[in-house]
Amino acid sequence: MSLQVSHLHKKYGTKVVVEDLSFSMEDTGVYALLGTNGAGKTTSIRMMLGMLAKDGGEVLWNGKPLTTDSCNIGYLAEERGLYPKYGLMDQLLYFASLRGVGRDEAKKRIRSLAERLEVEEYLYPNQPAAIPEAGGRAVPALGRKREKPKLADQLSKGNQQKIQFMASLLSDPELIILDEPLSGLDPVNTDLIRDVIREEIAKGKYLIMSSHQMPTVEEFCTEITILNRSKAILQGNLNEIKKSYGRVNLHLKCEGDASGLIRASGAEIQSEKECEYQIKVKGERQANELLSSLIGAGVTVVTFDLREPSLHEIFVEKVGEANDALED
Amino acid sequence: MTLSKIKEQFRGTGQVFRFTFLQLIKSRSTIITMLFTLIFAMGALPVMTLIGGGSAVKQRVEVYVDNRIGLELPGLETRLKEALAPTDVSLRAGPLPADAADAVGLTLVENDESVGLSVTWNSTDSGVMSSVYAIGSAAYDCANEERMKQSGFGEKEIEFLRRGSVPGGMTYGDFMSPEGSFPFDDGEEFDDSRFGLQVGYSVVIMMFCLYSVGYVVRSVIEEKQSKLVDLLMVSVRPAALLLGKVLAALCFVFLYMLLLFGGMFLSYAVSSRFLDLSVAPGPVGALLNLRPDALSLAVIVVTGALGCLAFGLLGGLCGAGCSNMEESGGAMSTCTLLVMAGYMFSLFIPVTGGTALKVFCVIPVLSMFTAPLQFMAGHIGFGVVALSWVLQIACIFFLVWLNARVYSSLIMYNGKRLGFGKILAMAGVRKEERK
Repeated sequence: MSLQVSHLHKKYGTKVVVEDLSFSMEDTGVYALLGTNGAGKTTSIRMMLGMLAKDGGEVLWNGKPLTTDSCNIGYLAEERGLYPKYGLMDQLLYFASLRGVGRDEAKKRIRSLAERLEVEEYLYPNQPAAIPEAGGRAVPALGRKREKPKLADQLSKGNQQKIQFMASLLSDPELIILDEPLSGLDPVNTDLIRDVIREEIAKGKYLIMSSHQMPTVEEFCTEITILNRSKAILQGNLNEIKKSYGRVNLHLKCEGDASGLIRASGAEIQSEKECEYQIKVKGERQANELLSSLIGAGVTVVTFDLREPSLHEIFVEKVGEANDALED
Repeated sequence: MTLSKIKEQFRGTGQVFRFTFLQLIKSRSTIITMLFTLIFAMGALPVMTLIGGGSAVKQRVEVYVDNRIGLELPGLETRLKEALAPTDVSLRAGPLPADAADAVGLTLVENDESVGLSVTWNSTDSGVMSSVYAIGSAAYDCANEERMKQSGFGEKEIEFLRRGSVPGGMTYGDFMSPEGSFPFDDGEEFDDSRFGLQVGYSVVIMMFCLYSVGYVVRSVIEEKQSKLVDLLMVSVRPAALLLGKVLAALCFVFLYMLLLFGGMFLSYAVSSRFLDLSVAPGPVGALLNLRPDALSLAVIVVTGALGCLAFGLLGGLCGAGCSNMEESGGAMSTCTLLVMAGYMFSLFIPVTGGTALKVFCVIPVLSMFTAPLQFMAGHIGFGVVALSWVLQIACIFFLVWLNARVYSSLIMYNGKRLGFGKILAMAGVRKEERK
């Protein structure tokens, strides 16, 4: 199976919002669609899903136009919501039915996802947490007043987001598109959703993720596209992109001031705090020379970590370059 | 567009319909509203009757007839029973005894030129008192007819004289025109009940339309405001999303009306055994007296459903042009104006006839207010009703086409409310104003 996005183009009036976007996924894995706010990520996703009319380009799944008929798609939209006054279970069953999932199967999947995302108490308020063995029957605790199932607007924003995330996975989709899946979540809930994403990747799903959380993207994604002002400014395999920059980031921690020696070596100090430095070097050779000079000068080196630039750094640098070029 | 593509456009309509309808029914506010509706529907008629001067009807009234005109009145008992229905009337000969409580005395005496009448009673019961006029009037008519028969008048002449004449007016040109028709040339008298029936029926249709539009508009805006559109659009086409909602709203309002009128008719069936319902207000009384046959019922249901479907689709379009619930009033205004126009025009129907009546009965929007009643009254044939359906369906197709062109863009739109003119411009139906 493969996903081919070719020359997607969209404009509103005279304003171009997505310009000639192309990328492909030949194998299972995670593709990151990154970009500044308003760069055109969500518009691109909406065009891919057929929600917005394209002004140009095509999106193919196994050589056929991508539709809900040709591909089982799970989508977590950036603009998320639930019916505020309707029961959560009713809503989830409705979303599942729209994707053609039978009621019994949907209930099983809801139960399973609710456990993984720890939202059982909102969906099954009167049932014990433990699921009985096959053939057994869950019995509500005796002497307790029956609680009503929660409505969406009775849940915190984070829990609502988990319910929406569940909704996107109910059809057991082969292509999952997550638009900012972790925005606004606390670290505990972030980890829960990351775990489920990991499980889906392990199952061999095609996943497209749009996020501003660069560490998450770095953890999951193999291929990336960075969009800026409607255009793709960087595309490719994340490891290869990083390698192309070389190991130019040095994290140095010493016992005593080393700033003089660093400057003397020609390296550039980017930040400095209590003898801990973030340094930009030209390459491994310059870093090694700096290390030698530090040892030669009798400075005790606690940390010497030479690494490739992070995705965050690449993103900031690339967007900066693109904006400078546009201003020029 | 092939059939499979059309099918694809509407796939999921059933699920949207089921979910929307069940959520409407399950809502606590709906249950409370329906309960109150049923209570009011069942209680309104007896309360209105009692407030309007009605009273508990006596099951049996004895009428003592003291006939001094020397003329047998064989039809009197039938006449009195018709006039006092559903009260059972029994006749006794002779003057009213002083101790006959709850009985009425009817004395007929011969004057020089006419029959003299006096009706007497012993009871202070308001039910008995309210029947006095009916007894007197029926007896007077009966005696007069008997005298006419004695004078050699035939049944036809008597019927002609009984019907009397109703004055009507029209221009001389209309009168002379070969197609001109006298407003009441069908022989039917223009009376309050005809007007009352039209008002009552139009109010019901107006309620039906406004409720449907209200539910559709609110439902569409709620989905937009709840930011659910993206999630839904990946599973279901916009056309199916809207049609499912419109059908759910129609069914819900139909159920609501069924409850309202079911309650009213149940109340009527029970109340008529104990109360004199003739004092019920005009439109209500006229509606209660409506006895549609199966074809007429089908005409009412189909015409109403087509009209409401059209209004629902229009409401969906207008609702999709809004971004939040505060704008719902504006979105509904287009539909409300059309419904009100239909209602207002329909009130002129009882004073029209001929070609004008037929035209009023086929114009979309107006036809749903007028065609079924006029068909039931026999003023228009089924052909005119069928033509009104064809025009309504044409309107629905236009709205479906309009929805197909712009609905998906509209429900993704998050800006200032778009009026119907802008929506038409978006669809290319009319040119957008150049600034």
